[in-house]
Amino acid sequence: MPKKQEHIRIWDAFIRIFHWSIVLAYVGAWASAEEWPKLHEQLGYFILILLGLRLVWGLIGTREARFSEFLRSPRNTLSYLRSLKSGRPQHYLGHNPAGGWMVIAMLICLAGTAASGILIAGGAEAWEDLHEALAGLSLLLIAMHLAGVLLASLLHRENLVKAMLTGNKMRRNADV
Amino acid sequence: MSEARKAGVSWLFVALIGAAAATLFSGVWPVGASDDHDRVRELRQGGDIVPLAELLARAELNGLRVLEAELEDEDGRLVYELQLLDEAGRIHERYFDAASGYPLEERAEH
Repeated sequence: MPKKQEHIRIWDAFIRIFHWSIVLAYVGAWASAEEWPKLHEQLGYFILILLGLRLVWGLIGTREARFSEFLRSPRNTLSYLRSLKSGRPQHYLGHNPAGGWMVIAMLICLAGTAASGILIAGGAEAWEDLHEALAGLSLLLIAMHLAGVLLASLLHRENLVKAMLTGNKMRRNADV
Repeated sequence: MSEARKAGVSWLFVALIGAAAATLFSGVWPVGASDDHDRVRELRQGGDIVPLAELLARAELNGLRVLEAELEDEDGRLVYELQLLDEAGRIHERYFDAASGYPLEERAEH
């Protein structure tokens, strides 16, 4: 049977604009942290609003955006991670199990960073250590996210960055 | 709701992102006029310029009517620029040093 490939929309407009808005706001937040406190604070509020919208969209949104669709059991996730070593992991149209959990980890970490920052802005300086620790952790998570995107792009021979820009991926046989 | 319908609804969420950004960041980079108003208020409160009302009371306008008043920054020197209408319907422009309130030169237009 010939392999039939077709473009399919997986990331809706909100998911894509949310993703790249977070990227810009995150870079801006690091750049403004020392010199531009007002902008830094506004970016924190912006990120928190973005996360709130993502939370709602994760409950009611399109298929690939919904948490219930991309969050898989720990067992499932571990077996996916093991299958990476074989070089032929299962191809997922939306987030793969490891990517799905990374999304959750980044969302929680950014929410904690923004929330602690808002407490500091309100005068509660005791949150500064937590704010900086979470900001550092978010860097680590993003580095892992980028490594995962690179690895999955290479293993599946598809450009995941382009998919997050256009919203489209090629459907394959035996896709999940 | 169908998936296609939801993809449409996702644009509503995009609009919410836009509204949040516009609300949060319009204050960080003030645009145009609001900026100028703040500056003029600061200059007045700091005593750097004579208030316009005081200038109009002090200047000898001799029955000229004020058409327009502007505060201009001319290479660091703040200048009030008044457009005045005389009884014959001619427009005069008069300039005043904003710091002292003293008149500068006078120019008449048709």
